[in-house]
Amino acid sequence: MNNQGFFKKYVIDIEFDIIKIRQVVRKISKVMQFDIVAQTKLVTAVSELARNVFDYVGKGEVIVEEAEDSFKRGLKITVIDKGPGIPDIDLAMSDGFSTKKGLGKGLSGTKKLMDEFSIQSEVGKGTEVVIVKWVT
Amino acid sequence: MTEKIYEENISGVKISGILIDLTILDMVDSFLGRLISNIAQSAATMNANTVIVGIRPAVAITLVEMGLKLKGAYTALNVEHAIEILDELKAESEEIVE
Repeated sequence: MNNQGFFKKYVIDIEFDIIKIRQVVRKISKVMQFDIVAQTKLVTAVSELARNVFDYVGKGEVIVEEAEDSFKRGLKITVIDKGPGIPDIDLAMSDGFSTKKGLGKGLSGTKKLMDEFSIQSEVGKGTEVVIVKWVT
Repeated sequence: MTEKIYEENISGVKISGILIDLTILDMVDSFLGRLISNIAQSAATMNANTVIVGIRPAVAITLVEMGLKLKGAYTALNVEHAIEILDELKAESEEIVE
């Protein structure tokens, strides 16, 4: 199956969208021949980020696309919201940080599961998280 | 579900052990982890133990790498093993009462 250069966009609006996005990521990562552990990590990471958007903002977007450089290929997932933003990213990223809902492992845990992780946030404008996992 | 555990205990059905089978789950994120912990901890306050079975290897690896702990719950390899653990724990707590 040729998957090259694919680019897909999904909306987070209701809670069921989180489940839908999880299923999509599971399916794509299977097709891209990620091993079962990597598949699980990708699904967990996207679930974590989509849950954040749903819980704290309510609405957002997830973009799933193929990542490539000269040596490897992988899956790149971008999660965007137009919410209140995160005032202190370092604090939000720190292990054990929690506003109240989670176990304080959401963002820091997601980073540990991925090969690449970047977060950009502007107060009053929104947040964008990009994660990449390479096929090994 | 947490409410149901409370209700059933309060209404007189004595629950001494809870067994949660996670075979069907292909991932556990921090949201689900918290849910499981909450069940286990509220059960513990009423002297009921919680055992989890059926965590898939990939899920276990992911949980450990994320640093997620399912606080308050025991884990077992299968249902048989889980019931053994629950029986032992029940016997222990009965000894204390006596």
